[in-house]
Order: sequence, then C-alpha cells, then structure tokens
Amino acid sequence: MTHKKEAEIEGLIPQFLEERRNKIMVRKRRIAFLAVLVSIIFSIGCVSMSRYKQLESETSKLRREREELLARISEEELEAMPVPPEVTALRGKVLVEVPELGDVHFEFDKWDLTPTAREILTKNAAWIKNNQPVEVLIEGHCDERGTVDYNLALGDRRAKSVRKYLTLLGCDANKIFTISYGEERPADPGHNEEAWAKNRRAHSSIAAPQK
Amino acid sequence: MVKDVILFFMFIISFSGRLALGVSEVYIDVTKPYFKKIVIAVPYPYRDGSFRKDDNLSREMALILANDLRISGLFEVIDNPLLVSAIAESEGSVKVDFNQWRGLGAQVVVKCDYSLVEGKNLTIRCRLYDLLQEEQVLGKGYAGDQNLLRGIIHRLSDEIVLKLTGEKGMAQTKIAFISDVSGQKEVYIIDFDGHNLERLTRNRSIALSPAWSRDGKIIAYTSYHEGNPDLYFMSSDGSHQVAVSTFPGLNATPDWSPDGSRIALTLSRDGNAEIYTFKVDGTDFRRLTRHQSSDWSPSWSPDGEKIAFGSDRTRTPEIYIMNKDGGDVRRLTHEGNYNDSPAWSPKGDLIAFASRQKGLFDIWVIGSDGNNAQRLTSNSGSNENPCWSPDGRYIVFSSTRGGSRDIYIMNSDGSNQRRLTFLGGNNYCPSWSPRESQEAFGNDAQERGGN
Repeated sequence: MTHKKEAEIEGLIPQFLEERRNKIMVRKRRIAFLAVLVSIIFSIGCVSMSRYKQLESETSKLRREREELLARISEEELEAMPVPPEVTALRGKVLVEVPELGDVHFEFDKWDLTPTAREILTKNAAWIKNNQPVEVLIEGHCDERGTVDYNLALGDRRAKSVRKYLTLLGCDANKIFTISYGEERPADPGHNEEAWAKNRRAHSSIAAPQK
Repeated sequence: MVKDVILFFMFIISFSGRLALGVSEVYIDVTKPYFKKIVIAVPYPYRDGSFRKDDNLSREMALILANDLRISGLFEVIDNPLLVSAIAESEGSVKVDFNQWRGLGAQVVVKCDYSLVEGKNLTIRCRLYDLLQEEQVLGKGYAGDQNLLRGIIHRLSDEIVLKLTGEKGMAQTKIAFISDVSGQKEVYIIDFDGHNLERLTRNRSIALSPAWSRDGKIIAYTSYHEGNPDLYFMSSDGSHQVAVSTFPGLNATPDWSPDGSRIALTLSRDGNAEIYTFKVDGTDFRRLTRHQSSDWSPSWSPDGEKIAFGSDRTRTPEIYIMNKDGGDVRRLTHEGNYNDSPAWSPKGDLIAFASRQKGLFDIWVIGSDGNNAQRLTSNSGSNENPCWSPDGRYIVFSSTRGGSRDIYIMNSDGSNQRRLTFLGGNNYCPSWSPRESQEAFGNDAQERGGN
C-alpha cells in the first residue's frame, strides 16, 4: 500500500516538476517580456532625450542668432518733424488784424500749448489754409515777472511753438513768421494775476495783401 | 589887472605844486571795503574875488559840486550856507582860515573864484586845501561858455576825486537807458548826477538794451522799428543809426568785447536763443552755445577771455560762464531759482546779477569763482538790469521802489542808493558810458592851468 502510494507519488513528481518548470518559464517569459518592454520603453526614452537635447541646442542657437540680429538693429531718437526755419523776418509790411485768428494764452513761465490753445490754433490753421497764400505773423508775449532779457527768449519760444503747431496742422511754414516782444508790449498794463494771465499770449495778424 | 596877473602866477605855482605832489598821495583807499568818508566843505564860489551871498551862479556851482561829491559816495559834504558862508565871507578869496574850517569838522575845503566875461564866457579857478597839512593840494582853472557850467564842475569834481583817491571820478560819465515816457520805447542818456537828459532815438517803436562801446563813441541797441528786433549802432549823440545784425528773430542784449573789436549778443535764428559773437564791421558771426534750452544776455570778462550768460538749461534761469569760444561751460549761481542779467565787473572779480525771490528781483554780486554771493538791494521794489560804472565803484540798475520803474545808482557795496530819473513812465536797461568818452562831452570847456 505504501509502495503503491509512493510509486504514485513518484509518478507524479515529474508532472509536478514539469508544471513548476512551466510556471517558472511563464514567469521568466513574463519577466523577459517585461524586461523587453522596459528596455523598449527605456530605449524609446533614450531616443527622445537625445532628440530633445538636439532640439534644445538648435533652439538656443537660433535664439542666439536672433539676439545677435536684434543687437545689430540700429536705433535713433527721432525729433519732431522739423519745422523749416524762418529765412527772413516779416519786415516792413503793414499788418492787418483778423478777427478769426484767436489769441492763445500760456501758463506762467511756459511755452507749451494748452488744450484750449490747441483748439484755438486748430481753428486758426483752418482759416489760414482757407486764405492761402496769406503771410501770418505770430507775436510771442510775456508777463512782466521775468527779466527783460529772459522774457525776450521766452516770447520767442512761445511764438515758435505756435508756428510749429500750425505747421503740423498743415499750414505753409514759409508763410508763418514770428516775433518776440518779451514783456515790452503788455495787453493789460496792470500788475496783478489777471493782467499777467492776459499778457502771456501769442497774437496773430497777417500782412496786408499786396496789390 | 595887477590882481589878475598875481592870480595867474599863483595859478602857475599851484599847478607846479600839484605836479610835484603827483597823484601818489591818496587820502582814501576806496579798494578797502570800509573806508572812512572824507569830510569836505563846499562854500559858494567867490565872484571876481568877493563873496556874494545872493549870487545865483555861485549857488548853482556849489550845488552841482556838492551833489557830484555826494553821489560819489566818497565824501561827507558840508555845504550848508549857514555854516560855510560866514567863514568864506570873513576869510576872503585868497586866504584860508584853516582853524575855522577845522572847527566845522572839515578835512578839506574847495575854494573857487569865477568871473563872467561879456556875460557868457565863464572863467573859474578852484583850489583844494588840505586842512590838516594846511596846504593846497589841487589847483584847477577852467574857461568856457556859461552853458557848459555843469560839464566844468563835473570835471572839477573828477579831479578832486582823483586827487584824493588816486582814481578819477565818474562825474563826467553818462548813463544810457530805455524810457517809454514818450509813449514809445526810446534810448535816452543822462548825466551821472541825473541832469542833462537827452533823447537819442525817435523810431516810434521799441528800443532795448543800449550798450556803450568801450571808447564811448557808439551805442549798440535793439530796435523793432523795421518789424524785427534787429541790432543797430548809432553815434553816442543819436546820429548815424545803422543796422548791424538783422537775422530773423532776436538780435538782442549786445555787449562789447573789452578790446572793442567784437559784439556778443543773443540770436534766435536757430530755433531758440543762442549766444553769438561777431566783428563790429558786421562780419564773422560765430555761434558759442549749442543747447536745446535758451541762452541769452552775454557779458564779457574784462580780460576778454570769458563770457557770462543766462541760460535755463536746468529749467530755471541761472548764470553760467564759458570761454570766449564757447568751451568750458560752468554754472556760476546755485542759490535761488531765478538768477539772470549777469554783468561782469571792470576789475573782473565780481559778477552782478538780478535774483528773484518771492516775485521780486534784487541786485546781487557774486565772485567770478562762484563764491561769496552778496545781496545789495532788499525790500525796495523789484531791482533789475545791473550795470557797472567803468571804475567798478558803482552799479546802476532799474528799480520799481518809487512806484514807477526808474534808474538808480549805488556804491558797489550796496550803500548810497540814489534815484537818477524822475521822468515818469518806465525807465530801465541802463548802460554806463566809459570815462574815455569825455572828449565827446564838453570839448569846448578848455582847461586852463597847464601851459
């Protein structure tokens, strides 16, 4: 009985071993498969890493080149469109007052144009363009609070900033002349804020048309 | 007749005495900041050797002389007739009662004697006595038309100043300025003592910034009468007006170079005000400043090497100095935010200017090295346009302290401020004539006492 069982068992051993082997094989295969899989994935990773590095260096090269090109761009400050200088003064002409040409006023010690002044000058420019070829004289005036000499220079700048704006608005610069009266010809002889505000002005008149 | 001969001899003797003394004997050193004024007695001149209390011409001469001496700022003048007449009357024309004059506190006395020939030819002999040394230190005789009385007395006054200070006085100088008393702005001149007002231009426009040439023969000025602020020259009598700089825009604020060969001025032909110089024949214009800001009011240094000017390159007006070719620009003024109208002193050490504080200008001086700024006017209206006398002892300027804008003078330390113009209207932009111009004034008054 015992022998019979033993023989049966012994008979089963190879089968058992075979099964074990098969299982191991399967496992091995799985492992191998996994290993292959891993290695495949890994190798794919390796390929993409090197590609990435290549791309990266190409990109930075491009970037460098671009930067070099950028650095080679020349740059300059552009001043406002140049206003042709006055070649002659408006000498010896009889001046005529034109009601349509409004006076513009300035802030204390300033020669830049206020929004109100720009509105007025826009209208003045329209009138001038409609009445070409008319010669216009812009007088720059100051209040009395600066020195005589400084105010000559200030009035000059006021008249010229009006001339420049009219030119920007399309008036013919060659027909617009300036003169600075400094503080020498006040509109209001008073010595107070009200008079001073009136006196800081640019006044326009035209040369009498020649027959 | 005999008396005349004696006087004449006395005159010769006195003149030789003066020569022997020379001008080395200086009583006051006016270069010292605090000198003591000389006390001088000025009695009425005698007429033909006798004292006449009610003689109008005597009184006028004494007044002119006393006024000249007072304006000089160097003297304390004793001329009260109550004090001086009694002594003058008692001592007579040819003696000096030294004790009596010293008793008044005087240090020197001027004794003059005059005569009128044919009612108009004036002869005047004057002697200056040192009351401590008890001797004559100056003797001068003049002859000329009676109309030249003021000119003669001014000459005498200058000689007295020369004798006592070693430097000639300013009594024969004139001041050019702008006045709108006629309704238009014209160039006028006036004597140092505020007399002899004369109008030089009749252009019925705006004249500005007159500037005497260094020889006193020409006045440069800006006028608008052709429709642009152009620069003109004219003779110092107002004749021969001729345009010399006529660029579009400003041709303004002229100043003569010390050697008289060039003019520095402000031109705005480049888009804003810049400083140029040109030769007085109207050629060789040279641009000195190149700045987006404005530059104006050039004033030469007395050695002709540098030019002070106003500029707002730091936004507010300040005074700068540059070389005569425009190089080496440096800022001179740093205090306050509005400094303008530089005027370089004849000795070169100082620059006078106008500085604005609380809306009003005052006259200041500053060392040409930028140190020691000193205020000369204060609490007296707005004071502008300083200009030096040729000897550097005085500054002429405009001031609104009297209500209207008028011409004033003061000693260069700010003392002795006096009003010169009483015309009404605005009076400003003064310029002091040089001393050399004296030939142009009172040529007819011949000086006697030489040979």
